[in-house]
Parts: sequence; structure tokens; C-alpha cells
Amino acid sequence: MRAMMKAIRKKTVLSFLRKEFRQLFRDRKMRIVVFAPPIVMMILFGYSINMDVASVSMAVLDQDRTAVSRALVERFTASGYFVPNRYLDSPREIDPLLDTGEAEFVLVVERGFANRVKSGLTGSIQTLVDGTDSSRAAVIVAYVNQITQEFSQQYLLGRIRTVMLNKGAALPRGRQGIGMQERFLFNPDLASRNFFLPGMLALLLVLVATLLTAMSIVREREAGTIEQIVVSPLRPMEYIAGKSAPFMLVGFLDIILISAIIIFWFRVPFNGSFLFLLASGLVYIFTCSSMGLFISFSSRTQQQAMLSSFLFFMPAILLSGFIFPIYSMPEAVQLVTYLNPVRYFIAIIRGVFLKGVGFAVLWKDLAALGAIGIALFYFSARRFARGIE
Amino acid sequence: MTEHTVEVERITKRFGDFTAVDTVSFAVGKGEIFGFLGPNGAGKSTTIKMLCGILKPSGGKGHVNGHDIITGQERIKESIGYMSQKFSLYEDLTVRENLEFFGTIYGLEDGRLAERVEYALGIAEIGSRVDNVVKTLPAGMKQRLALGAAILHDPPVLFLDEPTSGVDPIMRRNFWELIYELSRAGKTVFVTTHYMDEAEHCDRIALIIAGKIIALDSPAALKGSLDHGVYSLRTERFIEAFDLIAGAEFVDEAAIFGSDIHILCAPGLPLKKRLDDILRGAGHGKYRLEKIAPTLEDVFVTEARRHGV
Repeated sequence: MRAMMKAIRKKTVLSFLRKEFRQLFRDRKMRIVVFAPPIVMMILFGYSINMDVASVSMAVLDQDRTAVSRALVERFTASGYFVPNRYLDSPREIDPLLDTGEAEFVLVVERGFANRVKSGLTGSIQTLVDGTDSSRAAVIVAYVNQITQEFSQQYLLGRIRTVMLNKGAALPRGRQGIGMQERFLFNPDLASRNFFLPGMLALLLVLVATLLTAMSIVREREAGTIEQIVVSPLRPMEYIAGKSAPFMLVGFLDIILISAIIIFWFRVPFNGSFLFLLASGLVYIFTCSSMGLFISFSSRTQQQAMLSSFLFFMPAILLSGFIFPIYSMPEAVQLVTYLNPVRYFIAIIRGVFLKGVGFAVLWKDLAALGAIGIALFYFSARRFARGIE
Repeated sequence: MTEHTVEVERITKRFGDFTAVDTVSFAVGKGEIFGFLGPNGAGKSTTIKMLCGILKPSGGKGHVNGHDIITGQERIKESIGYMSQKFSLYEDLTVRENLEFFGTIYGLEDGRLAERVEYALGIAEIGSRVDNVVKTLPAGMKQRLALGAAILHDPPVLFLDEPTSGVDPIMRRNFWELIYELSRAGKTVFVTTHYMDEAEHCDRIALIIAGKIIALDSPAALKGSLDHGVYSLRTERFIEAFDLIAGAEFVDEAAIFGSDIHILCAPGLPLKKRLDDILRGAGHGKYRLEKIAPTLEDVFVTEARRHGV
């Protein structure tokens, strides 16, 4: 690190930085490109990323048509999870509804349901669930179980009450038996938005910092201006530092902007230290920018750089734990994720936003992130120094 | 005995099995305009890169401005100016921003920077367009501006890598006048080119082929040393005639120049008589043959042949 610092002269770098900033912000298009897409994407995804299972479209085939069956159906419609949009008359109507997706869930109450229940037999209902989206279907089934269980429990209680009243015995009060009270920590509402939106920060930053840095260097190579730099006394370290610094600053501003949108617009709870988020964000941007450097020194044209960047983004995002949990990946893939900078920053962001933890807990992720960044930066600098020849 | 500004001895550069520059030696004095003439891939650029402190030679030794080309690369970079065939100022910055940027990269500051920027503006005859973005300037002005930027820090040695490719003849002339001026002011100028007429402007030329310098002298001396007769032949149906001539064993080299055919042959050869034999026989009745002064191109072609290229 000392050698790295020694290889950089302040005045030269300042002059280089001034030039880079001028080039970056001279172009109105560029000024917009740097800030607008992250904001637009953030807002767009903020509204669209929602894995919560609510407003399940429901169709009802009530063949029983009794007070009991109506009471059961009402349990579903009043739960807030289901929106009944069709009442059916015949089982034949069911399939087309599921095929077109008009209904995700069909509740069938068979004829004789009330009689069976009243006579102490098991009254059965049939539920048909669209299983295309397996995790959504699982949640729907859980809702259904909960509602029917509550219904049957209350029905039983009512029956006991009546029987006891007839015998003149004391009435049992309220609900009986064992009730479970769940409390979820860190994301009490279990809102998927709270889980996903902070992660968007990691995604947007890796796009901005990696792509812009890579493109800026390759553009200079394409224009041939790099030749003039190579013959000048500007040192490789100075060049690389000067090239990545503007985008690091842009990335830094993006962190503030995007976090503000997440916290103030989408009301995602923020429990940690903003300072720690900024500091680790800076490390993350450094690493992403170094990735950009690395890509740029292995690409000749802007198209190549673009393609390589996207070849990096896909696995980096999919194997980051942003969507699919890392622990459910095959072990070999899990090992690969240790090389993925996005993985660490996702862990840091979720820790800071939801759990409110800081350096004491997240230092390992931060260290790994920094180590990857330094390694990439070092390789790029060496590659550049050799590339001069 | 004056000290040479640039002097190299048997420098060699190998890339793997390939020898790009092979034991090249030369010395260039203060104020001299020194040309590297050779086809693409002959080793011109590699040699220049070694002189500029970008490439380390695989063998040999040398110095530029008193700095060793192996150990003093960084010093060399500070003391040379370089201008490449490809325009390499920043198109999206203004003239002044470009000059100020390159000035500071070379360590110029404040008053000295302002003074040198004014000088470069004068050279490029920028006039009132200092605050225009470079991409809006005409090609000739850009080229002079690139030269101005290359000599901002007042380097004693200047490397010009095919400086006038893609520039029209008037601008080219204009540009060479600038170079003469710099040479008179004591700057050593290296020029690489594959334009023969451009090479004529140099004080001395090194012909470089396949990594070796095969001839090194002033343009006049090189032409004078040509041990061949050079003739120009004019005839009708010159394409057919050319095929006959090029195939004849007494002709060393034949080339078409416009509608003339240039013939190189051994000195003292009774060319007229020999040509009569083959041309008359093929029905080429009239033709005119004239002995001409050799051009650098003739020298180049002959030397290249002699070295088996």
C-alpha cells in the first residue's frame, strides 16, 4: 500500500482528475446517464419487487349453500389475503379459470358439508391451487390451513358451548388450548420489500461503477489518446487512480441518493449506522471500479468491454444472495460466491438496514470485499504497466 | 566532438522468438532531423518505443538526452516530446484545457505553464478558438496543435510517428516548415514515415527493413550511392510492355509510375539494345527511353531486394 501511495504524485493526479471530471460532466448526456438511470431503476423496482402473497384471486364453488358453508367462505374473503372474483355453479368451470390464471385458488365446498359437520363427521373442502410459482403456492396453502383450522376450532368451541349450556355447566371462556404467538425479528412485517430494496443498492452500484470505469478506459484506448498518456511521465498508478476516482465519486453520490429513496420514499426501516453504510459503500465501489479496470484491460473495444461487463453482472447478481439464498445453492457454487463482491455488500446492506448491526459483526464481509478490490486493482495496474509495452 | 543527443549501440528487441529490432546502432546530433523509413512492421515503432522509454531493449545499450534507455526510462519520458500518427488530444476538451492538462502532466506550473501554453497556441495558429472544443477544429489545425502539445515542456528531442499521414499537401508543407524551425532552434527531431517525399525532408535517413538498418545516410548520398541505372520508358500499351519488361532477366526491378515504366538495371548495361530485342519482337513499335535521376523509392526498392525482402 505504501508503494502504491508513493507511485502517485498529488499535483499530477489532481490535474488528471480535473480533466476526467471535465470530460465526464461536459456532456449533458453523460450527466444524465450517470444519475438518472439508477434513480429511475430504483423507483421502478421499488414498486415492482414484491414477493408478498396478497390479493390472491379466488373462485368459489359452493355446492352446499348452507349457513355453515357461507360462514366458511366468508372466513376466506374476510382474511384480507383472498379476493373472490368468481362464484361458480359447476365444477366444469374450474379448469378454464386456472388455465387462464383468472383464479389462482379455487375453494370447493361439497354438497352435504354442513350436514357432515353437524353430525360430527369430518366435513371436507377441496382447494385447488395454481402451483406454477411454487413458493407463492406454498404460502397460499399455509393461509388456507390456518383459516380452516381456525374455522373448525371455533365451530367446535361453539358446539361445546351449546352442549355445556344445555347441561347447565360453566362456560369455557374464549379460545382454548395452545396458541402460538409469533414475533419476527428485524423485519417484523415480513415485508419482502424491506428485504429486497436495500439489496438493489448493491446491484445499481455494481452496474454504475463497473461499467462506467471500464468504458471510460476503453474509450480512451479507442480514441488513441492513451498513446499520448503512455509516452508521458504519468505513472500507471496515477493513471488508474485518476481514471477510477471520478466514478467512485459518482458511485458515492449514488449511494446517498439511492439510500435516501429506499429509506424516505419506500419507508424501509433503517436500523444501523449510515456512516458505516457509506464507508463500506466506498469499499464496495472501489472493488466494483477495480473490476471495471480489470475488464477494460482485457477488452479492446467498447463492445467487448460491454459484453464482458454483462458476463460478469449475470453471475455476480444471481450468485449474490439477492434473490436466491446462498445456503440453498450447491456447495461448489457456494464456494464460488466467496469470490463475488456483490455477495458481501448484500450481506452488509441487509445487516445495516434491517438488523442494525455494524462493523463488529460485518467486519469479515467488509475485509473480504476490500481484499477482492485490492487484488483486482493490483492485477489491473500490473496489466496496464505491461500493456504499455 | 559534439555529444550526441541520441545514441544507441546494437539495441535489440525480441518478442518471444520474433526479433523485431536486430542489433541496431546509430547516433543523432543536436538539431538533426533524423528519418526512419521502412514498411509497416519493419521495426520502426519498436525502435521509437525503446527510445521513448516505453519499451526495455532485450539487448544493447544507449542513451537519450543523457539518460540511459534501460535504467532512466522515467527521466527520458520527461525530456522527450511525442506526437503520433493518430490524433491524440482529447476531442471533448477545449484547446486550452488540453494544453493545460498536458502541461501539468509534464510538471509545468503557473507562469511557466501560461507562457508555454501561449507558445503552443502560437504554433498551432489557434487565434480566437482557444476555448473551442478540439473536435470542432479543422484537421490541419488539430495536427499543429498536437505538435504544440508535444513540445509544451520544451523537450530537446521530439519523436514524430508518421506525423503527416492523412493530411493534405499544403498542410504537410506547412507542417514541415514548423519542423525545420524547431530543428534550427536546436531540437533533435525523429520522424518515422513510409512516405518517400517526407523522407526527403530529413537530414539523414535510416532505411529499416526486417528489424535491421540496411542503409543510413543523407537522402542525396543515398541516391548517389545507388549502383544502378534508372530509366523511364514511355510506350503505348504500357501494361503489356510492363509484363514483358518485368519478366526479363536483365531487369532488376520494374515499376509503373503513372503511365511510365521505371526500370532499374545494372550500370553500363546496353539497355536500349536489349529492350529492342524483346519489345520489337512483341510488336511494340515505338517507345521512348530516358535515363533519370534515382528517387529515394528506387534506393529503397533496390536495398530491399538486396536484403531479400
